[in-house]
Amino acid sequence: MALWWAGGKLAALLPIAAPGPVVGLALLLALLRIGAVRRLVERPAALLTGVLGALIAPAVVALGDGVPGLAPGDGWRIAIVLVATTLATGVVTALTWRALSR
Amino acid sequence: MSPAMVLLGTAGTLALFLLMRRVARALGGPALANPVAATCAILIAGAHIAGASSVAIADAAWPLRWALGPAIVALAVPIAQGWAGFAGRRAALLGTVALGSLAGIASAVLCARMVGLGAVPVMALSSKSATSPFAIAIMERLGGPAALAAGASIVTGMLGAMLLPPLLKRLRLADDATMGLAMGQAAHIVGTDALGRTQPGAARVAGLALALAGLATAAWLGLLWPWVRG
Repeated sequence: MALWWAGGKLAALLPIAAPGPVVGLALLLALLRIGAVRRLVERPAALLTGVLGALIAPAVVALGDGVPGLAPGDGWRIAIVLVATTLATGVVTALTWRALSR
Repeated sequence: MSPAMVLLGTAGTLALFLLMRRVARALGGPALANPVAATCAILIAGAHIAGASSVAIADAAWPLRWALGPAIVALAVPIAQGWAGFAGRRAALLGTVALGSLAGIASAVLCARMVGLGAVPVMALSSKSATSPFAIAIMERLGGPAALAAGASIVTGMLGAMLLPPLLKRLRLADDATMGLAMGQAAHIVGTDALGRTQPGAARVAGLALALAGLATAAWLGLLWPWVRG
């Protein structure tokens, strides 16, 4: 919790638009080298990451009343983009790994 | 909003998600039985049937949305655990995630513009290669449409979990590291969850990849946002 708060404060000072929780994640990564910190956070971290899906749900439910900024017919266009670019991203990632890990 | 409504919205959403996760596991965990999508669909349908606003239901569960920040910080633990398995190959791992994330952003923005989408969906789709907690945090920081980005990220995960493994197998790119990195990058939590039942070694890699991909997407979008916004 303290790292999440500190991440938010630090993010505001950074020259790039990094979200506060992501900065907090980087801080915790550095602190996990300390055994006492690792033992302290492992259980609560597992609890939180285990219910990530429930934490996402409210943001998606808010879409139920409609999405401002979308035009009629955008749904199919978005579907095309999602299918094409998800496959492309997966294949590019796989090929990059094969090339770099040789 | 009254404390009773907040308690009901928070506990109800959490209980419904846990129930949907149990149902998905009982069904053998097919990609279409996504607990997040099912929870959202039931809550939205419930709101419409009751004549209530979906936004009001989402607002009642604000403590869950608040907990998303600490949950992202907590992802450092699985990253640290997975990192140990890549000794000697970490530069390749980081390079792969950096390029994969850039490919995810660039392909989504260019493809969205090609099919004629406007600025709001283009911004939302730019973070689709980050898992939804990251997508929400990134959009809230950059001023993009967080809810639409979260929805795009979840649908991306479902599509990737269904379509990507057969394609990668056909292309002979299905060893644990390659499959795990591709699925973690392109299909996030849903893809990782699906791999857990069919290729557990790849699922461990995917867990690391999805967290690193969230970090890389946040970094890339911080730099590329003026281009994405148009």
